Amino acid sequence: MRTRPQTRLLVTLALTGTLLFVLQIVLQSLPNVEGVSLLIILSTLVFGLKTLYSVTLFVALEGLFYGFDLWWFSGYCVLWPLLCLLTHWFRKPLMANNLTRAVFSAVFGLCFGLGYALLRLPLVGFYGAFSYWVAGIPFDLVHMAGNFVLMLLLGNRLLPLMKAHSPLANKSNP
Amino acid sequence: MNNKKNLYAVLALVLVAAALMGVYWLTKPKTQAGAKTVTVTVFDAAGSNVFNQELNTNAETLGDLLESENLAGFQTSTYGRFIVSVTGIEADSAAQQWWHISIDGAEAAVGCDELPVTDGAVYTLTLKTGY
Repeated sequence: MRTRPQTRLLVTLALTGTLLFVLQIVLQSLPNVEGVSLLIILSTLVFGLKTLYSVTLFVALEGLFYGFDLWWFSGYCVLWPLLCLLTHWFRKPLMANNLTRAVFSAVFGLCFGLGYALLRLPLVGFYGAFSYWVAGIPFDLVHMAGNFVLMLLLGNRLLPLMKAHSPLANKSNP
Repeated sequence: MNNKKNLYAVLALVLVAAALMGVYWLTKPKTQAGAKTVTVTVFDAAGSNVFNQELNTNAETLGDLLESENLAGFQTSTYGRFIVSVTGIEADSAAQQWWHISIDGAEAAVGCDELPVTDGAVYTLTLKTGY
């Protein structure tokens, strides 16, 4: 059965959003080891800023599952779309080399706690935000290492697969 | 050339990680051994003071103090222990309730097992609603 490219893209983006949510749930028993960064980065390299649709679905599912609270707003509403935008911004070097992707993903993992702390700054003040960030440093380091290893192991295998099966294959990436 | 740059970036990441670990260890709250006298006060969701007592303890962290005095119930997660009940009052997670900890009026930035028990300190546990 033939389907229109736009429909296939819509379904792929929706499935990507759902997969992000499933990945988060499956790996949540391992503190700060997650496949969400990996998939957002690779998806953005394949689908461009259209990945924001998948991220929006993921963020909405997280909110429905865990509650639309301050953590949801500061972390999910801001940091994950930010990763998508940053990936798009640096897409040329990220597309060229998997080690660059691994370093980029690791830096995002390392800065995740700092991002939360900065977003909480207006609510808890400098000391509160600084204490929160410092207390979470061991978790940020695990996040960094997890992101680096996952991308190093899977980035080079998944990216060509995703590109080959993308509804945008052989079309210019918007 | 690109790989050389990436290797430098990995090296820089390792150095930054080591430096951050140093910051963590230097700023980590230190526990103190020996006898201490502290005050524990508990407020329920309605804001009523349901417990206020001076306690003599050898516990080094707030988690150990609350456990040894049978004041709190805990749940263990991958991120460590967190308080689920105090003086028999359960936090209803479905209603987004949680136990807020403050020390001498200042909000705690770490969990109960990282909070050192300091002689003369006042530990306030308040049942809050909404994350």
